[in-house]
Amino acid sequence: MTHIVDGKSDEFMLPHFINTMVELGRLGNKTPDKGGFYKRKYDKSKTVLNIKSFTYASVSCVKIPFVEQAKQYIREGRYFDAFTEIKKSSEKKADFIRKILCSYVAYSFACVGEVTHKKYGIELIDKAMAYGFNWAPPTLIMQLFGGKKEIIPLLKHYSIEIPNSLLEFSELPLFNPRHGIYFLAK
Amino acid sequence: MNQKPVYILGGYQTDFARNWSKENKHIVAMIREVLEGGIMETLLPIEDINAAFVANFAGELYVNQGLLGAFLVEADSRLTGIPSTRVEAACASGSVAILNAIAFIQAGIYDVVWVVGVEQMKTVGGQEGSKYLGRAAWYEKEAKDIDFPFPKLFGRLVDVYDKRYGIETKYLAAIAEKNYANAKRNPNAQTRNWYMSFDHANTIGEYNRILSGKLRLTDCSHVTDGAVSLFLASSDYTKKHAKKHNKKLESIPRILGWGQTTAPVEFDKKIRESEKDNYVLLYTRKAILHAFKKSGVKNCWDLDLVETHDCFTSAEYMAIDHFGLTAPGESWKAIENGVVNFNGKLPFNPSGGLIGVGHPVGATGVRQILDAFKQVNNTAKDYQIENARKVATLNIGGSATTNVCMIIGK
Repeated sequence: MTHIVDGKSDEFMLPHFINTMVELGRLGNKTPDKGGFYKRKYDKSKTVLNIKSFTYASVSCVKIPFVEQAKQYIREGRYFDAFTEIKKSSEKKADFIRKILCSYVAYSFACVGEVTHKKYGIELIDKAMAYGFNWAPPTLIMQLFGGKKEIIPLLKHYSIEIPNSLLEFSELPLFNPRHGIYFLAK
Repeated sequence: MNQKPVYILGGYQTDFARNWSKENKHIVAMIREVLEGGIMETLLPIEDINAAFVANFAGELYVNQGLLGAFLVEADSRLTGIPSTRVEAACASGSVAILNAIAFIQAGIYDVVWVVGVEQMKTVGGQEGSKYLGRAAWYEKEAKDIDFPFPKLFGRLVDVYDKRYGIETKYLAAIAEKNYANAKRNPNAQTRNWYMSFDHANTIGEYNRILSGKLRLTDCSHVTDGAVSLFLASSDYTKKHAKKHNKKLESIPRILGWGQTTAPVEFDKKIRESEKDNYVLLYTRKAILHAFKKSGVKNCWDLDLVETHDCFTSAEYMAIDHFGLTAPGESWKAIENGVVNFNGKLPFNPSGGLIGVGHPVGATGVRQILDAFKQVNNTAKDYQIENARKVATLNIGGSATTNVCMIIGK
């Protein structure tokens, strides 16, 4: 991996528990008796791997109120309202989601001039993420967070480096209603 | 009777390739998208909408939801309080909803009416969905306990043509090939990335089985999730709207005329009634002639293109002679000579039609008018027919029971 020049190279490393799973031969569908992330019991009920203890426990359906509310908004096509739920929640889990999404936006802007030519700005990165990966384009995430004026303080809050291309980015296109396709209500 | 003009300000269509059930979206999300998209396209202040109609065939069956008129208001709180009404006429729901909007505008009751067509159909499997669609026939007599009742009814349309005039199925395959090819130009078409060739459409086998009579799988339109919005307005409002956006009133497309007829519900009864006539579906022909007369269209050659109802290739085959491109029973000539092709003398379904674009039942009639608007407005992009000035649409409900033909122009 060392030949890759990328500011986030370290984050592309496999988490330690994956290596442990491989060592233990817990390869999922290939090793049904040993399991993987999940393991079926004799009565077909599903258990889930605890990555700290490496034991299996019953799957419990956890419902997180702000996530459930955001999902309901997405189900009704209220994408801005869904993001408002994520923005305003004081739960640690919401903080984790915000940080991940902010990192995605910052990383994408940092790729301008490297992955795509500078003159195309973020536009081609948006297209690569949307058409290539079927992910919500980074500017869409920024827009749903409230635009540049709201995302920059968030990046500062999470100590995420703010790329120059983001600072220089002047305007957001209007919300494209077709972009709802990137959000699943599940 | 002199009727006041009704203008089309624009509209919006969802991507018909989407599966909204897989996204776990409620039908209101589709309505919301076409409202937001339509407002962006038309630059219409949302507060100017006086009333709304929603065309939907079977929300109660597909998504367990009735009272869809009310869901228009749910799409944006600023609409709360306006009158909103659901309209159902099977596959012709969209056109009939538009006719309702026209009536209110011509009566001087409303200035701006928002029409939505919406159907979410991928909530159930093909067999179950086909039973739901059977409700658009006389259910007890024509659909109950019958698998795929509509392919059977439109398969019998082929049989009727065969008996009266003779028909070669290669011409039906040519219609399928054409509509799939046209759909490749349309970024909203369900089948834009699908493969189809004449050989495939004309071959019966494991990958193209017979569904009924002579109709093969490739002769059918598809199960589609989709919504379309359209904004109609009075001339007084349109004048102000045009001025505000530096346009001339004459540059804005309008509904030049329309014809609506209702035939007996049972297919056999329709066919018995037409036995002594040259045309197979008398009421479809009548709706077309009404629309021609009301809009001052002398004959089909006054038109630049037709967006017709091809729920099955046999329906488009029927439309070709019923519009008068050929003598009755000779539609094959217009197909063989390429008259209905994209670059032909009178293109049929440059959008891809129901076979290519998709057929979300309640939305289809609205989609046809939006595509007609785009053609006349010269904004159809890759599927634009050069210099399109007058466009006809034909939307049929049931087995050509409800027939609506409209002419759009400037």
